[in-house]
Amino acid sequence: MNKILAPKNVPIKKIRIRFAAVSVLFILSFLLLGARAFELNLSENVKLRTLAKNQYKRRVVVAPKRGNILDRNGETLAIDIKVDSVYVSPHRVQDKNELSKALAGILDLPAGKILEKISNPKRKFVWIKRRITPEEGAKINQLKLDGFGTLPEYKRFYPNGDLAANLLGAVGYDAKALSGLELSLDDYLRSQDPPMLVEQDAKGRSYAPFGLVGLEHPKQVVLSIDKTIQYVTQRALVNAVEKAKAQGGMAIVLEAKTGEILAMASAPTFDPNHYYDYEFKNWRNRAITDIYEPGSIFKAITIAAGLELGKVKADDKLHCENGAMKVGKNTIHDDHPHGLINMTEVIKYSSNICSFKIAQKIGKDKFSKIIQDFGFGSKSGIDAPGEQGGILANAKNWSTVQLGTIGFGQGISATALQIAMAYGGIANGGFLMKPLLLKEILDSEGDVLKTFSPQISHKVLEAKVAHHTIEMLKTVVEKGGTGTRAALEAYSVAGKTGTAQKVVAGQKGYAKNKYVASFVGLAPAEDPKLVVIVTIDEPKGTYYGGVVSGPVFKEIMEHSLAYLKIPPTFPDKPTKATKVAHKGPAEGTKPNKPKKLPSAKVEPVKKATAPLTTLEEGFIPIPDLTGLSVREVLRKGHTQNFKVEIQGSGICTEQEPKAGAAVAIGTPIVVECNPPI
Amino acid sequence: MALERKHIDYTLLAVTLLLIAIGVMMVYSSSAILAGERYGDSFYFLKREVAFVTAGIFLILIGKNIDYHLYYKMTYPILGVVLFLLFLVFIPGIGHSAGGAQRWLRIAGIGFQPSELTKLALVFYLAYALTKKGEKIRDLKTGFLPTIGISGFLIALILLQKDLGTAFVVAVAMFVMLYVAGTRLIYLASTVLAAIPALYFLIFSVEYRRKRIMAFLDPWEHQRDTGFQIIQSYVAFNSGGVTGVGLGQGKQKLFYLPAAHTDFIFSVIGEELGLIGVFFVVGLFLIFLYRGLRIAFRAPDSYGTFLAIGFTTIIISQTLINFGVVMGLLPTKGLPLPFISHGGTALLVSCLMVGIMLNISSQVTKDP
Repeated sequence: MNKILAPKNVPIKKIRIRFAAVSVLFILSFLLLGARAFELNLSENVKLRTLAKNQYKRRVVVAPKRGNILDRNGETLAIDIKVDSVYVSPHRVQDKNELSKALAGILDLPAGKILEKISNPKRKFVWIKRRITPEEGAKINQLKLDGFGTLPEYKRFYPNGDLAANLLGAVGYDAKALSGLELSLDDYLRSQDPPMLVEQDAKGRSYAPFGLVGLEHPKQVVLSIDKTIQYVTQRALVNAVEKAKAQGGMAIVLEAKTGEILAMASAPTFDPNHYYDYEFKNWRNRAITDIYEPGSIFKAITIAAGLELGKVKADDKLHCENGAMKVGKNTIHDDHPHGLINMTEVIKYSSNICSFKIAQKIGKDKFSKIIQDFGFGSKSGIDAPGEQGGILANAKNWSTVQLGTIGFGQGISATALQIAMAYGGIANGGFLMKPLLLKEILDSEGDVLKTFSPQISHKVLEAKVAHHTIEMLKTVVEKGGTGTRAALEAYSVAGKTGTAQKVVAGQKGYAKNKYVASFVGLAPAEDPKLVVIVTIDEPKGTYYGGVVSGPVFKEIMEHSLAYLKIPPTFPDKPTKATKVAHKGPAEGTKPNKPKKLPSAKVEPVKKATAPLTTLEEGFIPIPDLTGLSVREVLRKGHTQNFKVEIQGSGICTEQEPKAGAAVAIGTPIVVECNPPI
Repeated sequence: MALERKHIDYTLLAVTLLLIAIGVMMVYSSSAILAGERYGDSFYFLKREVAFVTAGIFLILIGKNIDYHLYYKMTYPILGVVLFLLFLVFIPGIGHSAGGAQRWLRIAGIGFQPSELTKLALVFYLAYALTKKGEKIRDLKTGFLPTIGISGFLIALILLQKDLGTAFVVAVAMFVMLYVAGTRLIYLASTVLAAIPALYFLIFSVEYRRKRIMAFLDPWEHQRDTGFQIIQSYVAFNSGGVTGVGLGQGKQKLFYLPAAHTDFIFSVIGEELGLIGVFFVVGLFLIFLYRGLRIAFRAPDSYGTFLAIGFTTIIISQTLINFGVVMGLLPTKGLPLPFISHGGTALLVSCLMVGIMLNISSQVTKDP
């Protein structure tokens, strides 16, 4: 032991006592701290509890999601994809300038605008940019600043571009359906969970310790649409409309026996992935929203009615007045003068005069009744929004002349769907079907929740009469008929041309040189599988239905029958189209490979700031609601007939859609309100 | 004369290791999310902590095995080296600042806080001086003034590095050692009185310190800025209740509580392990104090006694100040909780102190 280290003069005992005294002080301090711990841990401190509760919890609105829209074979027509959106919580931002600059650099936005958006330090949430790219998202997440974040949300994606766009419609922000089936099937497709409480960290980032449970899963819908047939139909229609420099057009492919819609196309069309670039005339699902005078294609209904009611017989002969018949002040003309011809020839040559006479024979009441039985004058009840019922005046108010002109399709108006369904009734042995567009509802896993079966609307014709009518309609595409260009090489076709003068709203009589050219037909005539209607609105130059729409019908029918592997009527004549149909469209419908259909050139609309002056029917302009109080917004919504969804309270600061845009009636306007500063 | 080997104080060793183990656990619990976010590796701080603990245990062994009388002879060289390092901090390029304070040396990629070494150096110096001077410490000119002069110089250097917390702990140790050695109380009281204006100036001339004092006096008033940390610390304890919300289940470390894995780790213990956890840790430190006292009493010579008193005082006073801060009884100052907080140099120095105390305990000659 090192003795030098223990000098005698150190009072070791006193040292010990003094240190013991110090230790007592230490122990007392520990006791004091222990008491403090008691107080901190055990006291009911409302202030602390409230603070803790409020800072951990946050109300989040779960991004609404939409279910898939599938075609009859399970091919996707519309799906949701996940995208990120950037928001800022201004009350958490330390340096607004720095954050604005950083975000502006990444998001390609002016820093000044961002700064303006986030300048109110009381606001808790401001969207900076919705739907950013993954690259932007990656850069954003590397920023070492406080007070901003990204939230996942869903964006509607249409993998096939404009395929069936007019039927499907489009979806705006927050999974809000804007038009089409998206809108009418919204209840099935959209999931809207109530806002839920999640935990958040001090940087305002939410996390769910146990995951977000109990979330609603959107359902999927299966349509009767066949993607390939839709593709063929849309391509043929859009090409024809382009070629004829027409205003537009519509085409439907209907399964004759079930009433299932295999294709429903309109032109012009639009790409719902970029719906904001298109005018609203491109959005319309014209096949059900546009009504027109069917013209000659209605003669088949007239003759079928005459046969059904026994007013005429198939081999009865009528005199067609050699092309001109004076009725009161008016004269009715035929394109080609005919004398005494039979019923078949009335159809084949499309005689107005003889159709007039048949209608007269049937009489107002019975004719009106059977026309209504065929579905005219009332909506078919198809699951797509905006359907029109057409115009069929009350028979009591028909003049004698009108009774006759309706016989050849004037003085009545209908949608392409109504005509197609009526021809479907003839094709189906006299049983009129209800149009079937929605086949199944699936849950998110793909299990069937509900199936919709074909439904007979009612019987309109005896089978024999239907058969007779078809036989007559076959002659239309035969040599000398008006629809020879609609004839198929491998299949027998029964159909009818129609060339109607357009009625212009607000004007008396018919517009000069404005025609609606149609062809509607069924094939194979002996055992009809499909009904196809093609209508071209205001073709330039040639306007005869047989010339303008006949070839389009042929193209659609030929490809569709071949694609469906319907045995040809004339097996010795396999057509080029048969092969093409197996190759061409199938390629165009590969999933996950959006292939744009050739579509009519459309001029993108510049962002409308003023309300559109010419609005399409069924659409309303959105007023500017910003700066108004919640009460004023609600009152405005009430008087101007639009739905408003208020988020927050106080003064309206943001609205979606923006003022000046036009949306389908019934589209809610989301208004974000904040308390005034 | 052969050194008579006695058993070391296993209780002290056990308490120390237990505290370190709690530290490792709590550092991981409180830092995982921060580490994941900042470094992309939620084990980042845990790995660092384990590395430091390994080095710390190594230092305990070194301290235990080196005869503490060696330091007696080495007092001035040690003092010289520490002074040199303290000066080095101020040389640009070598010294590094963190949080506005000039505290760090970076040697071979490892951050290093010389002010922590000052704790050791001061205890070594005072134990040496007090042993050597014996009763002469009562004399102002030859005893008290030179001693307090050198000690005060060391403390001033720490203050220059803006490390008020460490300076305070070192000062407490100095006063305790001088007091137990028998310094006249009048001298000590005068020193304290003389220090008060300096202390006032130190606090109120520096904006952040002044704010901290204001926040301490009324944290709710400064809830959004300077009072934020202490309010969040209250929230942590209050959420903990008796049994705590469960290890790893605390929410305060989700960026609500600043410095959750370092200076405010005791709040996380309060939240996750509750009052039980708090009392367990307090209990361990009480045992530590008792064993330190016991070693001081049984040390074979006054040098050993002074060393044990110095080290025990350093660790216990730092613990008390840390507790006081996180529980809102003292104004906020950056001071880690010994053995538990994540902090490199502080843990190593504490371990070395324990090692030396263990060596003293192994040389006990007789019961007091």
